[in-house]
Amino acid sequence: MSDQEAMLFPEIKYTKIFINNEWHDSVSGKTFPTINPCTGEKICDVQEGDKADIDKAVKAARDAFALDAPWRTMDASQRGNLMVKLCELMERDKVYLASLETLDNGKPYLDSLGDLQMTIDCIKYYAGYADKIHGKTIPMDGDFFSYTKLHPVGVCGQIIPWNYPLMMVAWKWGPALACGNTIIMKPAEQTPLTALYCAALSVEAGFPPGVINIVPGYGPTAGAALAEHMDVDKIAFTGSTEVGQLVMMAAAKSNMKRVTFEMGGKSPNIIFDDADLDEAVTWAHAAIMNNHGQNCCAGSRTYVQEGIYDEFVKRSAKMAAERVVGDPYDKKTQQGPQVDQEMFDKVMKYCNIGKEEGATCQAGGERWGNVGYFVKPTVFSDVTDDMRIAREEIFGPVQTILKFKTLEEVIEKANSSKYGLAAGVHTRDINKAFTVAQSLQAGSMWVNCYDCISSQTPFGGFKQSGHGRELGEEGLKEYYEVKTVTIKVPKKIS
Amino acid sequence: MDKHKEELATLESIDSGAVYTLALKTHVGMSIDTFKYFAGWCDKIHGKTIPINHARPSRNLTYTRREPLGVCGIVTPWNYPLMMLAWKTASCLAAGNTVVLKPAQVTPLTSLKFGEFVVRAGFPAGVINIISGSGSVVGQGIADHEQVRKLGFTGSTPIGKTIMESCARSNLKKVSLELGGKSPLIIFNDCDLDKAVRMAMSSVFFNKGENCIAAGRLFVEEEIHDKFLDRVVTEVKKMKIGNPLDRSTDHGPQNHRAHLEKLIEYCQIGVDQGATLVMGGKQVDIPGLYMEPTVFTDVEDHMFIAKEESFGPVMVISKFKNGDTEDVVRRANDTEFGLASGVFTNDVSKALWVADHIDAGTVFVNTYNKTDVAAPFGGFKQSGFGKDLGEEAMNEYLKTKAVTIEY
Repeated sequence: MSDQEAMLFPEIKYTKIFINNEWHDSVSGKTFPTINPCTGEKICDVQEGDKADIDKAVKAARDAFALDAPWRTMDASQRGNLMVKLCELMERDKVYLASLETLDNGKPYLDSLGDLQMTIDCIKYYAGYADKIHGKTIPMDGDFFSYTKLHPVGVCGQIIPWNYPLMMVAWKWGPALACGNTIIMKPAEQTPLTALYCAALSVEAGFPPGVINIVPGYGPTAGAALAEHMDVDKIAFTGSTEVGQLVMMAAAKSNMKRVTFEMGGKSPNIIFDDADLDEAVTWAHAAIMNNHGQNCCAGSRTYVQEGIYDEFVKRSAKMAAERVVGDPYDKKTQQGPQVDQEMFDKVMKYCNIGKEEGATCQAGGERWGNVGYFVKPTVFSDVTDDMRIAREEIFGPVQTILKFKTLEEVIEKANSSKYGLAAGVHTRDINKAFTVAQSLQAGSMWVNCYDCISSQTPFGGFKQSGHGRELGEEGLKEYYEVKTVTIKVPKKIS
Repeated sequence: MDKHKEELATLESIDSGAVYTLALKTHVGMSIDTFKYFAGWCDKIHGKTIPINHARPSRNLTYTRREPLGVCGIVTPWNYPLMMLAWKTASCLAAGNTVVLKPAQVTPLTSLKFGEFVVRAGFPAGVINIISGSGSVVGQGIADHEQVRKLGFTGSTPIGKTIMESCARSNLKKVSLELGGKSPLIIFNDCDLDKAVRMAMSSVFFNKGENCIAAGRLFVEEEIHDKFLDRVVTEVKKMKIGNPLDRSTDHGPQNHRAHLEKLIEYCQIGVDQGATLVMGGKQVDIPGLYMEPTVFTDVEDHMFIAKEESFGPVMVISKFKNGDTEDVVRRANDTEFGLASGVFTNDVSKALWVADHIDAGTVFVNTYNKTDVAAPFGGFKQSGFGKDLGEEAMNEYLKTKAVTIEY
């Protein structure tokens, strides 16, 4: 069977809480449903973790982090070997995993396969770093020998979202495991299934018990318990800015646990009139439409210079109208359903707000079909910076196109957002390209492209879009603590 | 390589005389680990962006690119044929170069077998090329070649010098050299004596002494000298000498006849100059190129065997005065070599002081031979320059380009 052929009814194998390499029912006995967004129907029930389950998981992770535990005493290179083995197993089961991802999240099967490849690449990248985490020796003043050693932070809570379930597992596990930490992960309640399957693979790969633990459940219960826990050393959260603030406060109030955040965005994508128009239209379309717009770094404010504005809007509207919406298992489909009722309602709400605010709806702006959470790819033109659809994150396939005259003007407008996750600029001119790249407050700046991320490039937000970086060498920094060791010597020489 | 490790170890044992168990664990095992380690570096070779002063009113962006050198030559020795290939080739390839390899004329087999794996692994044609042949023709040809941009060499110091001259004279190609050594091992009276004896044995007799970092001289503090010597003699007598393919053999044959003959001559000079031959010093009376594990003591600093590398199973012991740390380190440094060294002591301050003051590329403290794929390895002074292994090894195979854009 070619890997292009999905499993239409992947068997659901793992629905319980994963602690110490074993599967547990919830302490409370409660379960929650996970829904198929194509149909609105339940896929299965999953054990619902809460504070008591988090407590069990934290204990397991803490024990696995003890100084004499296998995970602490094994060679760093061996951590890397286990991670490589995990990648091999994901590769082996990729049709199943990608099919399961599409079932739970609704994204096209080919997108799930692509996400899975990035997942594997990310873990493999960090596997290569496991034995390359270097401290330094330092020429300090005085008769001392001083060096730094980079220790794992310890027990790490990781709360991940539903928009890229598999990839978010990799972005979190990769650097955490490379540095030697132990993990309690709370996957999104909308999409727990692929994370649980990866947990099963981690057992097969040979990870010691307690190194990886997964507690499915809800944010206000399981997520909060993790953020507030007195014996968790660090919390990493990807999700909305509003919830991120709650996590940060809980971390501070409890035990000053270390924090990293990847949150929302309203990223500007700037098109100058000297850009290649077709290329720019295509990149800008993908920037907002990829993953049904459910992308933290989506290019959700498209600024187009006045000279090409009308033609740009026309071509973008056509592209949106031609975007194929439908069954995500169909290879021709480019866009599946939004992930759940709540997200669907949010997109519909903003489509109405856009119309009420006076923007021109050039395409879409309404539901697609009458089953599940599908929306039509939507384009608004004549959008101005004061409109809510230009300021607030919609998290859907809604392109907003704004007009600008000058470089200085668009830089100021692009930067006037509480967010700062990403940005794009399309221009042939070297001076504009580097000036814009230098001037924008954005963690990822794309020039003549958009959304181009790979394991090697650090990703994260300025301002209220985030705190810390994932991917690249920088991603490791969030997962180690620096210890400085200073030894008295009789007399130093340089 | 991992799938075929037994075959590789057998080939290595037959061609170089390496004891099979060592060939499997170290010659082949460490080769595999080396490739695995550098595979992890390939996509992590970073340049920088640098905030230079601006040519106002314009602005400048400077960044560096780390680029491969191009075509690299690698010439390897006969003591660890496959492992020396791995140590150099892995970092060379991780940096993105293409390579022309020449294995030692007396031990070509595992390198050629490696060529087969290269094809099966999927490397594009031309990335790795292997030419068996003599140093004077093939090796010299690579050193002289106008299109080779770098040569990495492991071998003797005299040949290293010839190579360096050829590299300069031809096209100023970059060169890294890993050459001979006369590595000092200092054993203080406050050491763990059992461990010191075991490690001292390993420091001299590992791989039948055909080990560039072998401890060429042992300095033993007077107070424990006699006890140390007794224990060494006891341990040497336990060594099982024989067919290297036999899984219970400890000590195999020397690599080739000319080398064995030089060793016998070396020991004779030691005797002639008045060192005390405690045991060995001659060929073992069985078919094959077997040298008896040899121990000399009362070796004085002016003697031939105190200065020259044997590259064989010859332990050279000198005493030092109780407590005279400064003088023993002075004597240990009194050599043009500087590859490795060792110190045995339980005193933390003494250990750190000696480590600071020894003039060698590697210092082992309370251990010996503990190399690792992640730790940079290479000599000082006439033991050479440039590192194999560790992140630093890639510096030998990269060049830095600075790009400054004005906008």
